[in-house]
Amino acid sequence: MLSRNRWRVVRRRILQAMPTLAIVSFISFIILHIGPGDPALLLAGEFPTEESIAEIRALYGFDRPILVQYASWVWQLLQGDLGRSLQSDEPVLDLILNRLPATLLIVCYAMVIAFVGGSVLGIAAAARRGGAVDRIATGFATLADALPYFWVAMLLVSFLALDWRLFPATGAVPFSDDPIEAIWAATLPAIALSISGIAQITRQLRAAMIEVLDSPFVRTLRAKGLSSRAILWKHGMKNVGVTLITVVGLVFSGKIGGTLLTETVFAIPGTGSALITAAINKDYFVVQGIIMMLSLFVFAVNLAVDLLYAVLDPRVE
Amino acid sequence: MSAPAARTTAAADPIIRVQALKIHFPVRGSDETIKAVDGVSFAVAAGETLGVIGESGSGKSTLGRALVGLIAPSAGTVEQRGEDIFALPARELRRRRRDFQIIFQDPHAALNPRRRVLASVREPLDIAREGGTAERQARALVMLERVGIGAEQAERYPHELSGGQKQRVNIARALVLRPSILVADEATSALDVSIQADILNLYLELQAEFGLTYVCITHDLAVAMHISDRIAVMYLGRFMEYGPTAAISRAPLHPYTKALLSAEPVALPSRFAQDARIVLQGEIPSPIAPPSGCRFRTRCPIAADRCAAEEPAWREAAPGHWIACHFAVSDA
Amino acid sequence: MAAPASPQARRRRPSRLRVLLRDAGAVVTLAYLALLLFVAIAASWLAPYDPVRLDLTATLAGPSAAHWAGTDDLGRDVLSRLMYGAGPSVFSSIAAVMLAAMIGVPFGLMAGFFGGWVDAAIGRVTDALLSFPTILLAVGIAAVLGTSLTNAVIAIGIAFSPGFARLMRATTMAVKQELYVEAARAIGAGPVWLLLRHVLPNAVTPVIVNAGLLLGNALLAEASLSFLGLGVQPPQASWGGMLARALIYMERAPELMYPPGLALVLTALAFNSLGEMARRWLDPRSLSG
Repeated sequence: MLSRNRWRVVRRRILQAMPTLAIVSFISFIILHIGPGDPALLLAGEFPTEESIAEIRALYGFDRPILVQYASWVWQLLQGDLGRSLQSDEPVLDLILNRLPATLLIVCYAMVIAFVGGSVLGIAAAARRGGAVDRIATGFATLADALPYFWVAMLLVSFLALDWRLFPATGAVPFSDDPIEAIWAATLPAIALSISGIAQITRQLRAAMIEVLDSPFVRTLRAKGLSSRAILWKHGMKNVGVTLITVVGLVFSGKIGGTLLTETVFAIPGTGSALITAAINKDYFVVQGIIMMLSLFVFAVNLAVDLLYAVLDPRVE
Repeated sequence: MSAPAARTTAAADPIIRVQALKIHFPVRGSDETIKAVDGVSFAVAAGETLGVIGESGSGKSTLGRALVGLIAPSAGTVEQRGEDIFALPARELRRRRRDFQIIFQDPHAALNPRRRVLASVREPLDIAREGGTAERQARALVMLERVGIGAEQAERYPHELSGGQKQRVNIARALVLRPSILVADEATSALDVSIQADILNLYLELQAEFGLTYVCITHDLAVAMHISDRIAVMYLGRFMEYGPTAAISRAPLHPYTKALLSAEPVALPSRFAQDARIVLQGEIPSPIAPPSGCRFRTRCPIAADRCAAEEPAWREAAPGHWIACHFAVSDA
Repeated sequence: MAAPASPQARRRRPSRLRVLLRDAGAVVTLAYLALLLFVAIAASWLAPYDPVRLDLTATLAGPSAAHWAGTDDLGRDVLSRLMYGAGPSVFSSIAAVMLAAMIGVPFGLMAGFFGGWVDAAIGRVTDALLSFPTILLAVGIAAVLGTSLTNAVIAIGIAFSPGFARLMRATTMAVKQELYVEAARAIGAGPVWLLLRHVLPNAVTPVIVNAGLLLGNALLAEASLSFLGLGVQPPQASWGGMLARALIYMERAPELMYPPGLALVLTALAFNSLGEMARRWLDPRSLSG
């Protein structure tokens, strides 16, 4: 059970998050309303007249003050109404819900790869500082910073899918149809997506472990004759959990951003590729809906990390 | 008595007058406050030097900053030439700052590391927009020369100078606007002992030359006695004793002052060394919740029940010699 | 009188440039960037072919004497397109980072210096913007502004600005505590003077280092937007756009993905290493009279 102090911290974190959430939604709203593009102009078809534009403005409420528009958008949002696609007339919420599973699959898959790969590399690098593994891990982290997601994805497709035919080159299998096939098909996109995450986690963990191993406390243990391995497992590992939690939000945010490119390369029918198509076609409500939805995910993950912190932080008591 | 009497305790026409000054800082995440300065009144006559002695944590540095308008008081007033400086509008206060300057303890940290020292010394003139650029440059160079920094060193960055040289630069910077009041906050304690004496003598020379009024804040009794006309002994935000340097060095009245003097190894008349050394027990208490009654009672060798119950009055034990203690009496 | 600092002490310290040039990695980085800059500026004189000239008789041809890096699906010379693509890539990443700093630095400076409600307000917006993944924000902004290189630069600039604001806020808050700021207040400096003469110059180093480190990210972000069709518009050459074509013809001509991909990776590596060099270079201890 959580103590009263912890509950208070948790409540305060949630309350602090509220204004940020309001600003997130407001920004994604005005992103589409301050720009030079006029949705009414697009809706009016190929040969717009003054009257038809005015009519559409009135119909959609674009002629109202921006704050009123925002309020009504939030009101509709709370009722699950994100508007309709200008392209296909499909409700935006349906479109998002149809495409979300494919996105979540590769994002979560990539997170798993990043955390497993990053933890192994980071700990191994710290254990033998300056050794071969350390140099490979640090070199990889440096290189990964300079690798474009989409190029890694293309290399993977070219070798593993086209040359060696190990994986399908494009497309996705719905998880509900065949979980094994779905995961198999999502492997290459997930690997491409995980690269920068592996690098981030490797770097953070390596630094955290080295800090522990260099602490006067551990140096004393070593002087007392405790083996390096025992120190690493008993004392180094305590820091691993905390370090991993701190990078979850950062890595998740990176994966959500990277999924736009990865889905495009692998032609995966997820929210990322839908966003790009909508952005190019100026399908405003779809762009707005997807940005809002994905940001909410990032926001929720960050909040969850904050809360987990509040629950685990020994200083709170 | 909640605060010391607002009566001032120096010459009739003081240049600095501090009345019932309190400076309390809020503590993060708490309703409590740090009572850095908690009711201090005094005055300094023009041309005199007041030495303020105290341990670290006594609030003496906070007092020094308040004297030159860097920290606003929670209560009470600081007057320079009869004018409450914190009642002035911000812009007006900035304009008046040229008249009261401060030298800080750490000569290195007080200089912007990215500016050549000449630029730092010229800066007060730049801010005051005095004369043309060439004139400011010349005046800064003259002042640097006066404190012993040559033209070649003036072109250097702070990290290329020694500690003593940096403190000379800080002095030049403070004096280039010809202030009448100079507060020195532990201005020599970060320096090597051999350099301390040079800098102290420089202070005395400059005081005579520019007619300066000094407030010298220090934990070093010998320094204070060497240059001060009067001495104030501060403990946990309050003055414990205040009086002419000669009187305090000859016949300290407050047990705290006695303890400080007895701990002083050298540079004092030999008869103090013959007295039994009074060793202060324990640490200075927290300024968040100072002891009830007399603040010094937790470490005082002569403390009695009365000291916890009743706060000692700020009383004139001998002419011009003030103390806050129930028991101390003047031998005179 | 204290003795003047010995002149030998100053002469013994090697110049910053010499220290830098002793590092082989730094030399390679600088040489590569110099070459890149030269190619980016002089592409129209250096390139063997017109980058948009079609030659439908020689499409998807591999490397040859006539076309060192082969031709693309429309028979355009890949090497020439690579050279012409350097300009948009390099200059747009520099422009985007400068824009991000120009937006983020003043806000961070104000938030850190004034604190209180100014800090709270700027902090909220910064937090909110940071909870958008950068590329997502950039895609959203690019979608609104329309697809062009200029708009991609603006989008990346806006998307990167909250990072600068947060960094600037943190360093400003640290520098504000420095004694020399209080000392400057004591000699009569007002808030604007303090900000511009004392806080900014001493808080700007992490910002410059960050700018250096972000150049690589900006390069990849611009390439991403062009790859997605939201940046440089065809037929104009860009590295991201070339990779988009390579994706379509991946089965028939996988070699098309190497020249622009390697150019991107090498340039991003060079930019990142430049950021590291900036960090060492800007250490205030290396200033000297």
